Amino acid sequence: MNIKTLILTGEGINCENETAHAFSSVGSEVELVHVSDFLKLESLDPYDILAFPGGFSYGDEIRSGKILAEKIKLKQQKNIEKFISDKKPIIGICNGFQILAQLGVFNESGPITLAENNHGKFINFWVEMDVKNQNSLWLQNLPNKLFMPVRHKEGRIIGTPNLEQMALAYKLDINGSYQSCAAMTNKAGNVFGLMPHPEAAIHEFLLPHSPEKSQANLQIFKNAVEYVKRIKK
Amino acid sequence: MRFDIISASPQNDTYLQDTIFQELGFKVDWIFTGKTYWVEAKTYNDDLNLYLKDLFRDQVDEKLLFEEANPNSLGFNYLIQVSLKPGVTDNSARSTLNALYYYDSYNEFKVATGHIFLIKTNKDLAMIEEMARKVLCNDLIQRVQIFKNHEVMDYIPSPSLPEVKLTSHTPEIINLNLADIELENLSKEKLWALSLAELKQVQAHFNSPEIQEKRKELGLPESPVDIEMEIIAQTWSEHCKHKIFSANITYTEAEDTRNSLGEMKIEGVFKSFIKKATKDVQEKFKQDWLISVFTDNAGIVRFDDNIDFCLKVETHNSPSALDPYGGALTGILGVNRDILGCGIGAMPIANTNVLCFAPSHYPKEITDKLPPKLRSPLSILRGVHKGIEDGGNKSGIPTVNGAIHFHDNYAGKPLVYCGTVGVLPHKVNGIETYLKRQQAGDNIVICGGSVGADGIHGATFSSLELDDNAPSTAVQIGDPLTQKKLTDFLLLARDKELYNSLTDNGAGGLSSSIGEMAELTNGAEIHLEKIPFKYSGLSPYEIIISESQERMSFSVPDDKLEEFVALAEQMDCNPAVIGKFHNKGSFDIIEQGKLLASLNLKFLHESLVPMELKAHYQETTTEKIWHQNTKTPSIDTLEKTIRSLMAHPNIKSKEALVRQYDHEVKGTTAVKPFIQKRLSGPSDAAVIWTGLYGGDQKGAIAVSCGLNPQSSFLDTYTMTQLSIDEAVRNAVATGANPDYISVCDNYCWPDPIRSANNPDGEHKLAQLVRSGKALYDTAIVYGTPFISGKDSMKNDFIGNNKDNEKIKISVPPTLLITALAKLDSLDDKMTTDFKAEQKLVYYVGPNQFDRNYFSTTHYDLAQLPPVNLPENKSRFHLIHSLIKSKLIESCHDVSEGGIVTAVIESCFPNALGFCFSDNCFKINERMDSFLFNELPAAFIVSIDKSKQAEFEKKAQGNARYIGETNNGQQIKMKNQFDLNINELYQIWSRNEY
Repeated sequence: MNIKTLILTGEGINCENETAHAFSSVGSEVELVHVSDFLKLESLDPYDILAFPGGFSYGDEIRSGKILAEKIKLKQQKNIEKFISDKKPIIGICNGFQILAQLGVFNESGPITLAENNHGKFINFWVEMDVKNQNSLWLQNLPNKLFMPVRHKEGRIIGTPNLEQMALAYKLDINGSYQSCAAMTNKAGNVFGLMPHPEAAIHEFLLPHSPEKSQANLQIFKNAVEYVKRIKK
Repeated sequence: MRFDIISASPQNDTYLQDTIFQELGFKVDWIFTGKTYWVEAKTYNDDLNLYLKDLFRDQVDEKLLFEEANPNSLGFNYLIQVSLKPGVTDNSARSTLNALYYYDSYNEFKVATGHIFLIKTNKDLAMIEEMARKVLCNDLIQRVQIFKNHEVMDYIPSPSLPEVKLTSHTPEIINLNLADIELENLSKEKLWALSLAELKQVQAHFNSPEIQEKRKELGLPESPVDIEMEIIAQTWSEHCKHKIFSANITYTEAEDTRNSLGEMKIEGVFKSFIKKATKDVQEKFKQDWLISVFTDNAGIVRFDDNIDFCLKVETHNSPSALDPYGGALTGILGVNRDILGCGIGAMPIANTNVLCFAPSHYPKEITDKLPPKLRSPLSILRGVHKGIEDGGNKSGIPTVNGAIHFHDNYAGKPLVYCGTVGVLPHKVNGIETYLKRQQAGDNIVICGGSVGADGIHGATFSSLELDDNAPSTAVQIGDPLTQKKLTDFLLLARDKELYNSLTDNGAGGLSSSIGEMAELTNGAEIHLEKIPFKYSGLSPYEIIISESQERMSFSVPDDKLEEFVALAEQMDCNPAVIGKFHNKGSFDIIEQGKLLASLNLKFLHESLVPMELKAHYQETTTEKIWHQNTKTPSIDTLEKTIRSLMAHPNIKSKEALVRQYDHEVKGTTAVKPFIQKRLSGPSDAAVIWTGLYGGDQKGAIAVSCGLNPQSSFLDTYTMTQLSIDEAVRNAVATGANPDYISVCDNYCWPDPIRSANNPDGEHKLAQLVRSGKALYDTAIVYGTPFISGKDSMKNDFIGNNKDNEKIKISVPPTLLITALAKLDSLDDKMTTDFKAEQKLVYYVGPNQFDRNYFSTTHYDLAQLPPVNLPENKSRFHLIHSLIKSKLIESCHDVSEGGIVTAVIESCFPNALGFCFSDNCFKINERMDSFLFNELPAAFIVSIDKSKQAEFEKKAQGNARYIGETNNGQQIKMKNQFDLNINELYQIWSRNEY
């Protein structure tokens, strides 16, 4: 069965290659689609998975993810809503998470936003995280703890997200995020937004220690592919 | 309309508060930061107003200052508004416009952005004005308005949108038939930076009957027009032509010079030493992996059956002195474009940066001596650091390696080295990628940003020493987003074969980029009216030499033009077809069909006569520090000395700064700048996996650097050996094959030409010659070809201090070596950290531990180590074979701070204890020398006990056992010192920047 992942690219997005690599490593076809083409797409139905990679779309101006989210709202809102209600998987990593947050997909139990870290700095640091629930398709078959790098300046979740939407929490408070929250899902669990970068941690040799933990990061991508295989049957 | 945005729960900006205290010595009670957007639209209605509010103000955590936040309840005393001066790149506005255009493409929007600061303080207006100028803005590019609280009860009086108003003038005819002194004055006034000899050469060229006749034929005036003079000045600038590196030099030296070179006549430092080294190394070591050296924007080396790597390192010193943020940012983006413009386009995959600054925290008595026009060392560090952060992070290029080095004599000009590694496939659709193929008849197409007055005279300006009157047009702000879009487009267009060739537009603007590309086809013409401008009113010569950023020039054949332009437009890259390459032997500038200027290409590129210079070397053992406050180091206890080493700016951790750079975007950084385990320790080099770039799935490269300016005053010959050695040993320690290392040389020198302002020019030139000779001598033994390099020759500042005394600050002669090395396999990658307790630790290096030693903190004892190159080279091979046979578990080079520092740094990641063995140094050796000496080709390695016999057999007496790790917390040597690892880590890792 062919599974097709759309990876958004262009306009300052910059993690598209490693994100594509992660999805193709677990057996998905990948298609890199430039923002200008994406906004013109009639339908998202040909795709099984949507990935919003990390980067600095529109230079992070105004607020990270804001400008791209505004453009999507004007041209692609309906298709994305359909994708979500079709229970198809969407992942937003770092800037991708910020874009999804600005689109409002996590606001089901009150608005949230991603603000500047409480120390005001960009940080590139490897973090341990607890998996807070197993409700989401993205969070199946994972160990209790995950290990990945964070690379962001605006990753502090504010607002009061519903606890069942909290997906991952930093073991140590790294940026003042609400309850050390590192990642969220929508209520249905098919949309997954996270600040850390699993796609940069799927090979043993990229981990600064505990190389075996790379498997769990790959599992995240595998989960989406396996899920699509199940629902497509 | 303006929108002032402030946090819904404003927090004191402690970083700014601290900066104000550092720079001015007083503390404000609090300072809040907000952002301002000005929007003008052709039609304005409530819907638009609502849209704009929701666009700019986040509903969760922000408020509109006056409508929603009630600023007066905050109790501030001053409101300061900072906005950009007209013509300065406003990245935030550019992105905002992009969103607004999408919202309503028929409305003609104009946008500008700025910052507001609300401050609670009892200081008077004059102090606040000084603070605003020094901390909150940069006069060169920003304007500032200060309001007392009662002046802004309900709104802030708005400045108009910044708009550039220029009056264009037609080309001016320049009369060169003047007396010598008048010619020299003219060159100075016009910022041409041409010498009298060069001016005379230009004069003679234009007066020659042949040229006179030709000009008559073309309808051009007898004398050159300003465009022509500007093009000549840019092309002949030190920045572009490297005149000092090409000069003929007569070298002499005083009697009894250590490392005597004898008298020499040199036909160019570049040709005689650097280029020759590469040629001879390639022959001697039969290296078949050098693909393109010295001819392109970057050097290219073969990696495997599919991909090549390229490397370029640039400096951006003068711009960084004036506007540290913008200078560093444009430096990074500029060297990225060198990679983009390498061959037919390479992809940047890693950045490096090496920064040289004056100490960040000068005591007041020294700060008072600094010329007031100079920016404080701390503000330069912070600005440059932020520029590098944005330059790399926003471009999606990991910053993988670098260094920050402090020395007092960088107070006048900081050094900002920016390097980039790129990757390119051997072939695209069967065509070799390393060759440029522009053809006569190809269209010249530029893509990326538009042309403005920013960056006019950058090339000539950087070829002059800095003084109090730097022009603001030499300052630019880069736009990583525009360049990222250009990068995405360029690589796609390359793979679709939409162009024949390309180059970046850097120093000298179009005059240099098109002028250089035209050499291959033997001619080009540019049509001025086709060039996109940021605003009207630029003079023709300004258009041609503007260095406005993020532009690349492409050579596009007719049959691909339509597709090329369409793709560029779709990817928002602003393409403009501005002319054609031809083969008429001239570089022509045309406006609306009328020829404005025409220069003979041969004259422009090949006629420059090498300078004749004299160099004389006289040894010195004392270093001149600009403020003359030198401390003689006191003799301390060992424990105190080790603690002060850990706290020394050149040794202590820069992790807090480095972690603000994204060092692993692209998902290929296998060895990162710091090893993060229980604690953190430094890496010697970065290792990058090649599997994602079309290379071998088990392939890897190492990137490292070396510099040693603290030894320059003693001898630049040894300094050069040590710099190459450091870059090489860092790479080898990380697993690189010592026979597969290419290097890049970057010179930053004080002015080496003798003049009234520069009486010791001959000595500095002699230092340059000695360094060049050492480059050759070292490379030919180490087998390290130079594949690319750059030189910056006027790193001096001349200005007045507070007492109106003239003061000159020249950088120490500084050479940066950057190494690009191949690992036989990713499995060879090695890190510096001791892995666990009960590991045996060995020293592998020269055994020179006598009375004289060279140390970062004991510079008065300074005695440069003799460098035994062949021994070092065989030691690199030994380390490599130990790594390959899996006998060692860690390897760390010994550099600043000596053996004891290397051991402590290796203990940090796993927070281990270490005990030096009783016989780690021998009876005829000095303990302090053993602990602190900074020797070349020296390593600390650790092994598992089970491997001891095999290891010692393989090392054949070349490894000295010095101790064992343990699970205690102490670093100790019996009866000598006993220090706690956590305390040392506290000292070493404290962030003071």
